[in-house]
Amino acid sequence: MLRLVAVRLTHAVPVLLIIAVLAFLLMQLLPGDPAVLMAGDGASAEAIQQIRERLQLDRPLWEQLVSWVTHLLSGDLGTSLTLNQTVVSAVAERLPVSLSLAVVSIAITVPVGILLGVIAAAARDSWIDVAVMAIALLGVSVPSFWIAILSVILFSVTLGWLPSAGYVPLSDGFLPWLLALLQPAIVLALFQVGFLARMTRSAMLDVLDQDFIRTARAKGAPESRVLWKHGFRNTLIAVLTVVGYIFSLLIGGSVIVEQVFALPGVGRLVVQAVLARDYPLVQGTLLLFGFIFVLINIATDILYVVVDPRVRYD
Amino acid sequence: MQPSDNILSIEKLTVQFRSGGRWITAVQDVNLDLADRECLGIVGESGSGKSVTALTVLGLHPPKSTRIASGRIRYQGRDLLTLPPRALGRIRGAEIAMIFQDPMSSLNPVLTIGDQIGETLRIHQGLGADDAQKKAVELLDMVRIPDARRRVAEYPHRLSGGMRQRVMIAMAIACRPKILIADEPTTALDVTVQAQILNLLRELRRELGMSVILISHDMGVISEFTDKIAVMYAGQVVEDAVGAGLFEQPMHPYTDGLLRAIPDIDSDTARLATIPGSIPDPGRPPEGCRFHPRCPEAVPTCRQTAPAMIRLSEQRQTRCPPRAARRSA
Repeated sequence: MLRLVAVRLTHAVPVLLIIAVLAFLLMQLLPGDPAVLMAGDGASAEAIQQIRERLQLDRPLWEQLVSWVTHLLSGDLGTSLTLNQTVVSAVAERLPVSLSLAVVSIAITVPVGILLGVIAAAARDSWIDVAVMAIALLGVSVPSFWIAILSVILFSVTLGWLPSAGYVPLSDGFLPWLLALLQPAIVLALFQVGFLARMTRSAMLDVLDQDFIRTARAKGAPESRVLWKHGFRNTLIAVLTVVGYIFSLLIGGSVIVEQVFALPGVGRLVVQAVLARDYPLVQGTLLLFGFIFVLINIATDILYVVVDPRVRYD
Repeated sequence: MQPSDNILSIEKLTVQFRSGGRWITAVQDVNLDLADRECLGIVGESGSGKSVTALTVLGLHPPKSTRIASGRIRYQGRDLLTLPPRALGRIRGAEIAMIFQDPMSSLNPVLTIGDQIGETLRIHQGLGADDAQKKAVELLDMVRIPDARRRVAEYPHRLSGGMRQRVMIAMAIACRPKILIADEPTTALDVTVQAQILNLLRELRRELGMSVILISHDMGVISEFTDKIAVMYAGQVVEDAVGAGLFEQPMHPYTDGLLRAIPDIDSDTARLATIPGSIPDPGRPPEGCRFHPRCPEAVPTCRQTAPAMIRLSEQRQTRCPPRAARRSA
């Protein structure tokens, strides 16, 4: 198992390197002179020259690349142009918020999505199936900003049950933290539940047609056991893939939901950075998301081995 | 014959499937009796309704697209067809067990074989995980899987086809069932392995005193194994016989065809005999005798009137009136 983790991580190195180079190239691919763009309208020639020097844009390309990679290896992603901090600290400050939101919404999504998917598959073509799938379709199709606003009106304004905005760190207590995140997490989960339920259902329908399901029934296994132990266990690869995918999307920050609920997460940070033309920050977050995406994929690959004995990498 | 002699009686069973909004009759008016410790063979081409009949005994068809149009399946004074799901569940695997054609796909790929064998015992005898595992090792020994103690923790994909079928058998006999239904148990296996599996089934049957229903399209397999044979064609039983009489003097032209289709090493003929034509579309069975379009002996009446089963003796029945007439003449 340890060997597998090591091998997978080694395989990821070239991918990570490509991501690093792409993030670097971002600065080069911008039309025009990035220094002029960053300085904004009406900047003096001096200010532009300053930015150019600070970002080393006056050096040859290869020198810039080498410098970028060496800094990267020492954990230095540069300094934000707009925030008075390094890119690393800016991201580190906001990552816990997005991570918390991701964890809470996944904790809602996984049990609900799986349950709905399995129930729909078990009751295939009945009204239950149709109803579950209609709800799932609604969750996937309705834009989350709209749901978010309606939800705030109902739960925060009218009923006053949940706070409408803001983040409380986990260090201030579990319950306040959870309450602050509950509403945005549920809004996010609505979309994800729809997605996961549909995928679980279709994987279950495939499995339920297999011969070994008939064998389980022939053994006298009660229907619940047939569904979960024999059916669901065989859909774990598909379910895991979807959950891994949802999770990596969430780490990248849920731009809209963070915006509506005023959560200071990485999603908002990226939007701010792009709007302010804070390119070092854009570069840094891009790199971070790329890395996290790769790591989650590796984790998913490794978990395949745990859930399905037929999967082997060697 | 007294009904009490039979451990299982299928009476006038008609099974229909829904296909494109229509109900198609897959099995029609089938009567079969299985006596205690007897082995009944059901033989016929694919699509003849033999597997459907077997699956109906345990209620293993998808309920929404299947309809039992008529009939009873009597087991120990009860009709299996009207049993509530819970009661049927207590019989499945415990008193009537089944093994299937394709051992590759019939085992759950993500559970160890020990888990799967033990599961039968855990469901029906309430055994704990450890006891079930211990019994699973014993059962693997019983089906002659070497090194059972180690094998019990293996996953199905690590075993050969023959081994997997042995695992299926171990699973089926775990609760010492009274009846074992084997649906084409050797069809998916290599010829050498086929013989081993059949021998194993024969020995276990003797050891455990089981009654067996063996389903096969292979007359060779059936002839070696069974006390009583029913030949099925297009959803009907066309001939049945106790003992070897069927091979000495078949009473239905379709049986002739099946017997001729057994390859014979000593024979000089280069080509294997086949039955011309193919099994009729179950949605539109031919008028009269269902076999007449393929029958070399068909006479005009065969095309018009659907024949009923004709009792020739205590041991024999046929659905071929011309043959029956010739015999009594």
